[in-house]
Amino acid sequence: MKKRNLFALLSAVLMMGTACTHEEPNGGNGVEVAATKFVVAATSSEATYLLTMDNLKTGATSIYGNGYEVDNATHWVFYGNKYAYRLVYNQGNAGITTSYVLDEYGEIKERNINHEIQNRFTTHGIYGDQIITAASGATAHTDDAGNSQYGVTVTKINVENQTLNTQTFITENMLGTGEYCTLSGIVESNGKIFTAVCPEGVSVYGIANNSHLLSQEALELVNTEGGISGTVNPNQVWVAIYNNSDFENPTIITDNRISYATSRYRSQYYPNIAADDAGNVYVFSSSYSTVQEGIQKTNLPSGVLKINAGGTTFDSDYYVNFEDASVADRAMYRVWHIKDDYFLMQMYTDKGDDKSHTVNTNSLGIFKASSRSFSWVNGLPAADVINSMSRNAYCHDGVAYIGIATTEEGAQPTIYVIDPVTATATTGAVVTSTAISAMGQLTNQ
Amino acid sequence: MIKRILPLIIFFVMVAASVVARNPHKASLFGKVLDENNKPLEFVTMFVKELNVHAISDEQGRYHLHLPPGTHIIRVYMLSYQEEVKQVEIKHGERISVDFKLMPEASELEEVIVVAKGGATRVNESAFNAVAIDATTLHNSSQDLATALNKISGVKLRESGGVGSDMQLSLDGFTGKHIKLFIDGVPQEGVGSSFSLNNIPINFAERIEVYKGVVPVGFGSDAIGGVVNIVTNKKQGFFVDASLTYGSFNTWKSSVNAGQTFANGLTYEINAFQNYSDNNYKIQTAVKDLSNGQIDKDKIETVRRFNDTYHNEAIIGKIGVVRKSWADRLLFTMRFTNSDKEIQNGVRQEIVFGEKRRKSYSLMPSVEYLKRNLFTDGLDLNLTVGYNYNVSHNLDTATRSFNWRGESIYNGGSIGEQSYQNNRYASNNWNGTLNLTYRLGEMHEFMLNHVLSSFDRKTLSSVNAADNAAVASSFPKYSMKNISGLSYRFTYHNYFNLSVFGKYYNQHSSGPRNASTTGGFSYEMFSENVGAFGYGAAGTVFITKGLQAKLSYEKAYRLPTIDELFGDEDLELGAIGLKPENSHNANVSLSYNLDIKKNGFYIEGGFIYRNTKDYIRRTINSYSGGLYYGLYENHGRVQTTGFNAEVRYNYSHWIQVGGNMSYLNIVDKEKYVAGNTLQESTSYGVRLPNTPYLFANADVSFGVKDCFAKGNFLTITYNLQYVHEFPLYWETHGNQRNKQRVPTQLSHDLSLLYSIQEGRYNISLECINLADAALYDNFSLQKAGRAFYGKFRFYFNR
Repeated sequence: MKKRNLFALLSAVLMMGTACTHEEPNGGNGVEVAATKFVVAATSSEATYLLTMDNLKTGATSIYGNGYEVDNATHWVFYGNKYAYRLVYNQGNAGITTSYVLDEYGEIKERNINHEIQNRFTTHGIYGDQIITAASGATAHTDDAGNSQYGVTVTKINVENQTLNTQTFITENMLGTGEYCTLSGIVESNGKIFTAVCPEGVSVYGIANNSHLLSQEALELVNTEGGISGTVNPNQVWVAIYNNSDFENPTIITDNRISYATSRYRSQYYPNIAADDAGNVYVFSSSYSTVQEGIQKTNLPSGVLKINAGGTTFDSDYYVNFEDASVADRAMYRVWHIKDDYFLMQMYTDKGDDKSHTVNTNSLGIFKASSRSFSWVNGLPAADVINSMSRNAYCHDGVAYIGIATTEEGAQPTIYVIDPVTATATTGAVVTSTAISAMGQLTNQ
Repeated sequence: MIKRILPLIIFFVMVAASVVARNPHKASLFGKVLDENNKPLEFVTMFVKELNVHAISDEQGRYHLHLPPGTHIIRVYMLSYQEEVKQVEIKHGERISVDFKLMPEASELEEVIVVAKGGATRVNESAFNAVAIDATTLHNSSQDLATALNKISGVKLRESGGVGSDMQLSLDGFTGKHIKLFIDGVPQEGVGSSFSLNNIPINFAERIEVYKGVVPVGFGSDAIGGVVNIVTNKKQGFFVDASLTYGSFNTWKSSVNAGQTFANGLTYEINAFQNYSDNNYKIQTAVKDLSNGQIDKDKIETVRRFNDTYHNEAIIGKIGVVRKSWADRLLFTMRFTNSDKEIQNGVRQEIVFGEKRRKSYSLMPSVEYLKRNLFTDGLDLNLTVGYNYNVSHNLDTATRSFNWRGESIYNGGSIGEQSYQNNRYASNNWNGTLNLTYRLGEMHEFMLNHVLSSFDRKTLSSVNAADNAAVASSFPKYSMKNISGLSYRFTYHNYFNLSVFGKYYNQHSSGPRNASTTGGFSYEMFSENVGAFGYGAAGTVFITKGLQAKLSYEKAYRLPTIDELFGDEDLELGAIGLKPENSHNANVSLSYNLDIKKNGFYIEGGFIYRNTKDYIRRTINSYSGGLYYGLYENHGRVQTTGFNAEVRYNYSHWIQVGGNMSYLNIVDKEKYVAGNTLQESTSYGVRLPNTPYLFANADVSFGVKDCFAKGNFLTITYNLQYVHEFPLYWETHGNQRNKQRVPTQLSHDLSLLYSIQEGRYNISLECINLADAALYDNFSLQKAGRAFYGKFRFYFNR
């Protein structure tokens, strides 16, 4: 018999740092069943429309005459099935972050409190009742010569009392390598925050104050602006473990079996870190540094390490190399947790060093962490006819939903339903629009 | 670079040499042509039939004919005027002066106040879909050029705030890079923001011309939507025109224009103006609580803008000679402009900045040479060469966070309200315009035009140190455009004329491209050539007196800018092999003008058609569902059909009333989504979003002559502007209940002008936005409420 949980407990259970959420069925024992709808954020060439559906596995909907019109998001984050947040970073283009709920009629309603995230964040995640974004950049703290120290600014939005506050901390030499860093992925496990620390390069401040930590070959890479662009330590991974969202005194652990744990799409640092149902934290790496040259190029293949539940060290026995022919024979790009220890993986379609934004990443597979096995998902359109995939997979009730638009005649963006156990995909609802941006579920509170 | 300039220099030298070697034995006939008010008439044809010799009067009404000794019959004529014929006897080596006075064709002359005259009439009656307004009638107003343009049918101005704010001008829906600005026929691309239509006072112009869709060859440019040409004042004798304006929001504007033309032909002119405004008008908005970061959109407050101060200054000096035998005009000009603009908000009004600003200055020397009847009668040469150096500086270095009440808190150490910027960019722009016109008899005219413009931009300093964007922007971007045009016009008396023309566009560009094959960053210089051949025709017929029909067509092009080819400083990637945008543009119109006794009546109706393809736009990055980064590609077809109408009536000087309206149906005709796919677009057949499509203007004006004293004139004018609501995004998408729209705008302006001593002293009082309405040209960006401006102007011309 499935456990029956009251709504009050739902929002506290297992919020991971990805768009994948776990839910228990609602209602039962005389509690009134409130309106619940699936929400699809579908885009036109100009804006986004929030459509509501009863079922993502079948049927059709369209943005013609339908949907709550909103400006485009940088990211959609569904906080359980309570709130949908439209995170926007401040580029001068609609930089106001808004959030939405489902009203008693099953319609989308905008909450009256908006926020402004005043930086170009590169990663985000959920911790407790907060949505946290992080951005790296020059700070106002300088040395005597006026060189700016680089740091990370985290913006924390409390979804319940709707307050926003920011915190800036310096990342110069955070890893002892003389480099400044950014964070990638914010994952909660066992009440702590796990985040991958990715070195970005050496700032002018770093050259002036920490050059003794750099090798001779690294110093030769200083560019005309006086810094080094890109890390000179690509053959290591670092994860910081914070006790809470005060972001103080992290425990920083490192390993040299995989490269730094992120994948890149222009300015975004996609999270390569995810937890399973048992609380084990898996640290993946796309080995993005294959795009660099010389000492900045990594020689480590794309793989995954594990931090056991409750622990603060990398498990020395656990390592999987995705690029091995017996596993996936390809590098990984994105990862989402579906259920148990099944992960949906988005892979680079072709082998090779090129991981720029123009290469094809339209291949999906299922990774079962305990058995270290990988299977390609079958039933999807071929990678070369896929024009776009929704930025995040939506994991619900043991399956993963992803929106795909192909280049075929007459095709419209379609939701595909992926069963991790069988690694098969079936077509779901068709959403007539330009592309599907995100999916989630909202229940009237 | 030298290779291109050298042929021009040689040509210039030849021209100078030829004018010296004129036949000294011929006799000269010269003089002035005036209208019935003794004002000089430009573009009047003086024709000596048996010799097939003719001349055209200049902007001061002066003409010059070289004739062999003997008796000659001189015919003098111009559209809308009665022809004059005189017989002249001239002896060998003699120089005789004969003046002509032309009477307009309307029989009742006395109290007809002609609204448009001279050059403006010529443009309005040309075969092109062109409108000209006589700016001299607006010289007592405190408005700028853009506000005056906004009243022309089919033209829409959209400002994001008050004085000096970002503005966008559209002609029949075409905007931005699709329309080009000219001043006295010289292209103004690349001059920077310190000298733009909404910071130049109306006193700067004598006439404003707008050419829509089909552009005469004389404007060498890739203007797919049309051209705006500002014609500056050309006064004779000694003149001083000084004015001072003070108005709401601590607005101060002043301008001085003075100059003189001496009998020996030496001329000088100084033109200086400045604008200053705090722009601290009130707006309605939600205000962020700085203690907890909440913006409650249900709590709207009325606050004053506090970081919107704008000021700009410009000084233009000209010196040269006119009316010499070797030059009808040779002028050296130096122009310096400077501007400083605080930036109060982003693209949405909710995003407020407290310290962000932008500064810019530019230096523009130029030289102009005009010679009529070069080598032979009927061949006119006009050559302008100019250089523009422009520096712009973007500053966003605040370490505080602001809200709409002007409160701020320390933000913890991150820098920049939008994103950390302390970047200076410099651009260099060379341009040369050559116009050769040849008139053969009274019926044939050929024109050859060539415009060369080169542009390069580089970063002088930037704060993003260890950044790939900085590396990319350290490479200069360069482009050189050569546009040539050839046209032939056939004129049959005052009945009809027809022009046919061809244009050749060529652009050579170079800039950084990411040459890395592994997906990293490795910038190298690449160069590209783009070319296209355009053509068109324009004709007009005067069916009966006062009834005119026009038809024009052009296959027009717009060449890609260097940002589209190479990306901008924000790591936008440019595109290889971008084709120019192209469009089939057609216009047809009918107008009727009737003057009966003291009543003047005018009506005009016109249709436009535009079929534009290969739109250059940023691709929809369908992966992210957003539009932040993009590649530029040719994607898009847009079809425009439109209608505009204008009606005007005046009774002598007592009353003038009129209005115009425009309706545009601008529709997306691109079947597929961008990005090389057969997925059908959900916006096919839908009207283009965020574009005003139905708008109208109306005005009524009362004039009291000899009011309070003889020679004084009182005018009261009321203006109305209407813009029908339009959606921010595609009309057919989304639940119609919560679609975002720019609401219907209705604004009223009232002004009072008292002119003393025939315009020597002028006092005007204006009230803009009389009803204190909440006005929005752009979604969420509120403009000023009710504002008052007072202007005092002194004008003297001997």
